[in-house]
Amino acid sequence: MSIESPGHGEGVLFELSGLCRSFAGVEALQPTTLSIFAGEILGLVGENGAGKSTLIRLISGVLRPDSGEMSWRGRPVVLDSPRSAIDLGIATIHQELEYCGHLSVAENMLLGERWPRGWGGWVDWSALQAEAGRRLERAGCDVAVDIEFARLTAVEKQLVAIATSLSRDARLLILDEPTASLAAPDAHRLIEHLKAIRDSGVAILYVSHRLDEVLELSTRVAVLRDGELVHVGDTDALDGSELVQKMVGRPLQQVFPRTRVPSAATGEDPEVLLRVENLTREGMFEGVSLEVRSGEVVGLAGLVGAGRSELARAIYGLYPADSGSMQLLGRPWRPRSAWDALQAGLVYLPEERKRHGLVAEHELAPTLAIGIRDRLTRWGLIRLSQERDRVAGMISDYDIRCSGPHQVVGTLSGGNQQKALLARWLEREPEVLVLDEPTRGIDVGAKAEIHSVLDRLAAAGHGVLLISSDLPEVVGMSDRVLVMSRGRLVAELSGESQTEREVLQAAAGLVAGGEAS
Amino acid sequence: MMRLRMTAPVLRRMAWLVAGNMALLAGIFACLLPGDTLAGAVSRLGTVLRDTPRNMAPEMLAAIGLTAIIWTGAIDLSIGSVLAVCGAVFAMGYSHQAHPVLCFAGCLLAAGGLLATNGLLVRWLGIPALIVTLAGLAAYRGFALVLVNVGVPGFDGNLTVPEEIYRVPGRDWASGILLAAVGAAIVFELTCRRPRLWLAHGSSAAACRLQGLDLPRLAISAFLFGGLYLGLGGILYVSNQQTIDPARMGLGFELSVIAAVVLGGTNIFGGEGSFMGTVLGVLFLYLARQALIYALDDVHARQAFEGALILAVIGFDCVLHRGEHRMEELK
Amino acid sequence: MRAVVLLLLLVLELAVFASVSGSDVSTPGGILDYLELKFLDLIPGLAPVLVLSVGMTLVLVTAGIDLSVGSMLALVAAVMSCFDGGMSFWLTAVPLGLLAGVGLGLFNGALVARLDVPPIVATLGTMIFYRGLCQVVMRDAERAPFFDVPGYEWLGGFSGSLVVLVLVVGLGGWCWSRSGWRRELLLVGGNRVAARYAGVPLDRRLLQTYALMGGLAWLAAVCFTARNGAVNASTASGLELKVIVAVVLGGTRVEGGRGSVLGSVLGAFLVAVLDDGLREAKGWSDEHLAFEISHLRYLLLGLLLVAGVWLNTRFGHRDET
Repeated sequence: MSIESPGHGEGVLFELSGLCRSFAGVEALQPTTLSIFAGEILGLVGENGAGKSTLIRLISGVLRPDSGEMSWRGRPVVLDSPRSAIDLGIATIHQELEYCGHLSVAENMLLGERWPRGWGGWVDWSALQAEAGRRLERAGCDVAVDIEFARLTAVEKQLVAIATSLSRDARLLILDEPTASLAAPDAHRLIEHLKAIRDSGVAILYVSHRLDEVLELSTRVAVLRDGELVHVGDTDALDGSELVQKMVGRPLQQVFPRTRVPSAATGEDPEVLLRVENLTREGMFEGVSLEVRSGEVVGLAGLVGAGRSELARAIYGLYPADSGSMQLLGRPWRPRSAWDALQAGLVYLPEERKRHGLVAEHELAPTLAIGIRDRLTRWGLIRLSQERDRVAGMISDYDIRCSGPHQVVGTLSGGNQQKALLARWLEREPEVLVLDEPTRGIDVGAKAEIHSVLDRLAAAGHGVLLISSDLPEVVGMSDRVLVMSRGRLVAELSGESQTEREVLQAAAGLVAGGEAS
Repeated sequence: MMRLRMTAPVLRRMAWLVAGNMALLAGIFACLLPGDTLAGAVSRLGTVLRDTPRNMAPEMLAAIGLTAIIWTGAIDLSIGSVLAVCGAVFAMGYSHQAHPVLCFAGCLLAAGGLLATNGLLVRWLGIPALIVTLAGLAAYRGFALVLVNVGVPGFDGNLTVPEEIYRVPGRDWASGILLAAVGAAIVFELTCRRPRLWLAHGSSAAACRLQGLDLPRLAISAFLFGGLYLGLGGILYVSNQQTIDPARMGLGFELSVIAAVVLGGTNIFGGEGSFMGTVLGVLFLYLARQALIYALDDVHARQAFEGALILAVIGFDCVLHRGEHRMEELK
Repeated sequence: MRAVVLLLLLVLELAVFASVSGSDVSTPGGILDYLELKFLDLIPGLAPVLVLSVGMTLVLVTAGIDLSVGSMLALVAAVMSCFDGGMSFWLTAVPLGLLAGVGLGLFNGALVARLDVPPIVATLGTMIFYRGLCQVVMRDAERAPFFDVPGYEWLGGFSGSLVVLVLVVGLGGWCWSRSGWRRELLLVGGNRVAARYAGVPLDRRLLQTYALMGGLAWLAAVCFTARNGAVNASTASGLELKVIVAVVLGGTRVEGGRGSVLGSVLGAFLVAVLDDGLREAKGWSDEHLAFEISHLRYLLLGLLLVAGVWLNTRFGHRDET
C-alpha cells in the first residue's frame, strides 16, 4: 500500500517500485513503492523490525533486493555494491561511522582524493586544510580541520561525515538514527544543519525513532510497520499521536501468553527479588530505582541510548555503579563480577547474540554446557555423560531445532541461537532474569516460544526484567512497564496506561496529546 | 591543532624520550667522571658519541622501515634473518670479485625482495603477517646459509673481508648516510601523503576501502619501504664488520628493533606513530645499553636490564589505556 | 580429518628420510626395525618440545602467544644448575625450579591479563628479559650437575621420557579434554567479550594459562637437562619457533578459539622427524648437496609453518579433541 502526495523541489530524484527482500523465509520488507523528491526531507519511522534497516541497506547498495526496481532521475539503476550507490550520489551516514581516528579531520575528508601539492611535490598542508574548510563551510559546518578526528564530539563527527558526502556530490543523504547518541543541544545543532542542507536541493532520508525530531524536520513522512509501507504523506497532515497510531495500530491484536495470575488478584504480597535504589553511573544512567518481584515480568522500554543495557550490565556485575544500592533476594547486592551474579541466581542475556553471546564456529553442545559448567564438574573435570544428558535435555526442553548437539551454532537460525543462549541460562534455574532484546531479529514462531517460556518462568515465581524495544512485546508481556529516557527512569506504566502509545510517547519525549515537547 | 601531524600521545612519548635520552647521556657522563679529569671525561664522552651513528645505524634504519610496516597494522619478525641474507648476497658478490657497488646493491635488492615477498604472501595467502614473518625468520636464515654455502667457493663458516674499500659505507660514511636517510624519512612523513595513508590503513581499513583506496597496494608499499630501509641498514651493517657470519648475523635483531619502535610511541596494532619517535626510541635503547656498559661492571646483567627497561616502558603505556578499553569492548 | 592428514604426512616424511639415510625398508621386518629405532631415538629429544607444545596449545587457544618459552626453559635450567648434584637435588633444585617456572609464567600472565599488554609484545619482552637473567645466572659458564643426581639421567632416557610424555600428553591431555577450564579458554579465545558476559573470570584464566606454560617449561627443562646434562647461557634459543610450528601444524589457530592437543603432538612429531631425518641425511647430503643439510632445516621449518597455517585457514573445520 502506498499513498503518494505531490512532492516538493525539483522532481523525483529516486524511486523504488515493488522492492522487497526476505531473510531465511521471513519477509523483512514487502513489495514497496516509494518516491523521494529532490530538496525534501523524508522521515522514515517504524519500530524495530519494521523493515527500516532493510530498506536502508537496499538503497545504499549493501543488499540486493529479491525483486523490484530502483531508478535515479528516471533511469533504472542496479545497486550491486556500496560503491555503486556512492558513485550514483547516495550517501549513507550510519550510526557506526568508519573513520581514521588518528588522522586529522582534513585528511579524513579527502582521504581518497589527490591532495594539493606544493612546488617540491610535497603536500601543501595549508591548501589541504583550506580545501577541507571550504567543503565544511559549503555544508554549513564550522568544525576545526586540523585536529585529530577522534577528538571531535559525536555530533561533529556526524557533521563532518555529512559534509564529506556532500562534497562528493551526494544528492540523496540517508541518515540512520543520527541523534541516537546525541544530547539535546547537539541534536538540535544537527537538525538546524539539516534544514540548511535541504534548502540546497539535496534530498534527505531521515530515519529515526525520535518522533519529535521527525515531526519538526521532515516535509513528508513514511511509516513502515511489519515490513509494509502503511503511510506516506505530508508531515503537516498529522500530529504526533496520529503518527504513533499508524506505527503501532494493528489489524489484529497480538496475543501474548498469560497463564500467571497477577499478585493483585490473589492478594499475596510477593517477595521482592531484585531491588535497585538510586543507582547512578556517570555518563550512563542516573538515579534509577526499580523493583522486580517474584512472579512478575517487568518491562523496561526506551529508545536506543536511553541507558537500559548499561543499567543491566551494572546490575549483572560487569562494572560497579558510582552510587546507589541494590538488593538481591533480600540481601545487599554488590557484585564484583558476572560470575557473582550467576552464582547468586541472576542471569543476563545480552543484546547482541553474535557479538556478546556466541562463538559462531563453536558447536551447540559446549555453547549450552558452559552455562552450567560449575554444576557439571567435579574436581575440575566435567562428567561427560551427565553433560551429554543435560545438553540433550536442553535441546528438547527448549525445542532448539538443530541437526544435533554437534551442529555449529553459526549455522543455526537466529531464533534457535537465541533459544540456545536462553536455555543455557535457564538451566541454572535462576531467580532473576534480565533479558536484553530477547526476540530481536528472530522469526515469529521462535518469538512465541520464547514468550511462553517467559510466562512459565513468571508463573513459577521467578522475576523477569524484560528490556525490549519491541512495543507490542514489552507492553503485552509485562505486568508493568518502566520507561527510560536519556539515562533516567521517566515513567512507570501499568493497567490502563500500559499501552504502546503511552510507552512510545514517554520514550520519545512527547507529552500527552501528541505535541512535540 | 595537530602539531607536526602527530597525535598528542605520540608527542608526549617523544618528549619523555628526549628527556630520557638526555638523562642517559648525563648518566653516562657521570659514569665516566670518577677517576678522570673533566676534560678527559668530556673527550671520552665525545668518543662514545662519535661512534654512535656507526653502531646505531643499522638498527635505526631497520626500525624506520619496520615503523611503516607496523603503521599499516602488520608486523615483520624476519628482519634479522633478512639481514643474514643480505650478508650472504654480499659475500657471494665479494667472492666473485664483484665491484663493491654491486655487492651493496645486492644487499639492497635482497632486503627489498624478501620484504616484498612477505607482503605478497600476507596478501595472497590471507595469513596473518605474524605467521608469515615468523616463518620467514626461520626460512630466510636457512636460505642465507644455503646461499652462502653454494655461492661462495670454499666457505667455511665465515668470510673475512679485509679490503678497505668495503669498509667505506659502514665506517666512513655511516654518519652521513644515517643522517641523510633519517632526514629523508622525517621529511617524508611530514610532507607526503603515503605515510598518512599507511596510518589510515592501520587505523581503519574499512574507512580506506569506503574512500576507494587500493588496500593491497598500500600494504605492500609499506613492506617495500621497509625493505629499502632495511637494505640500507644491511649495507651499513655488513660494511661495519670485518667478517661475515650469516649464521649469527642479526640474531635477535628484530626483537630490539620492535622494542625500539614500540618505545618510540608507535602503536603495535597500527594507526598511530612517527618516524621521529622511532629515532628517539632507537637512540634511547642504544644509550641505555651504553649506560649499562659503563654503569654495570657485570657484563652479564646488561641484557636483563635492557629487557626490564623495555617491559617497564611498554607496561606503563598499556596500563594507562586499560580502563577505557575494557569498557568499550562491552558495547 | 586433521589428524589423518598429519599421520599421512608423518608416514611420508619417514619414508623419504628412510630412503635417504639408506636404511633397509624393503621388508616388513626392515620397516619395523626402522620404526622402532626411530621411536627410541626420537622420544627423548622430543620430550621438551612436546611438553611445551601442550602448554602452547592452551596459550594459542586463548588467542595469545608465548615467545618466551625457550628463555624460560633456559632460565629454569640455569637456576636448577646452581645446586650441587646428589640426592638433595631432588628436594632443593627441582621444587625451586618448578617455583621459578610458574613464577616466570605468572609474570607473563600478569603482563597480559593485568596490564593488557598484547601477548606478542609482552612475551617478546620477557624473552629478552629472561634470557638476560639466564646470562646473569650462568655467566659464561656451562654447568652440568645433572648427571650427578641419582635417578635424574633416567628421565632423559627412553623410558623416562616416555613416562613423562604419557603423563603430560596422555593424562594431561585426557584431563584437558574433560576440564571445565578448557571450555572457558575456548570461549576466551573465540569471543572475549562473550566470555566476559558468560561470567568467565578473564584475568584469572589468562594468568593460569601462562602460569601453566611456565610450569610446563620447568618440566621441559627437566627433560632437557636430563638428556643433555648441561646448560649454558644460550640453551634452547630458537625453541619457541619449533613449538609454535608444531602447534600450528596440529590445527590450532593463532586467532584462538580452537585447539587440539593431539594435533600438537602429531605436529611435534612431524617437526622432530624432520629434524632427525635431516641430521641423518648428512651422509647423503655431503655427497649430493653443496651445503649442509641442517641449513635446509630452517627453510623447511618456515615453509611448514606457512603451509600449516594456510591449510588450516582453507580447510580447517572440525574442532577440538
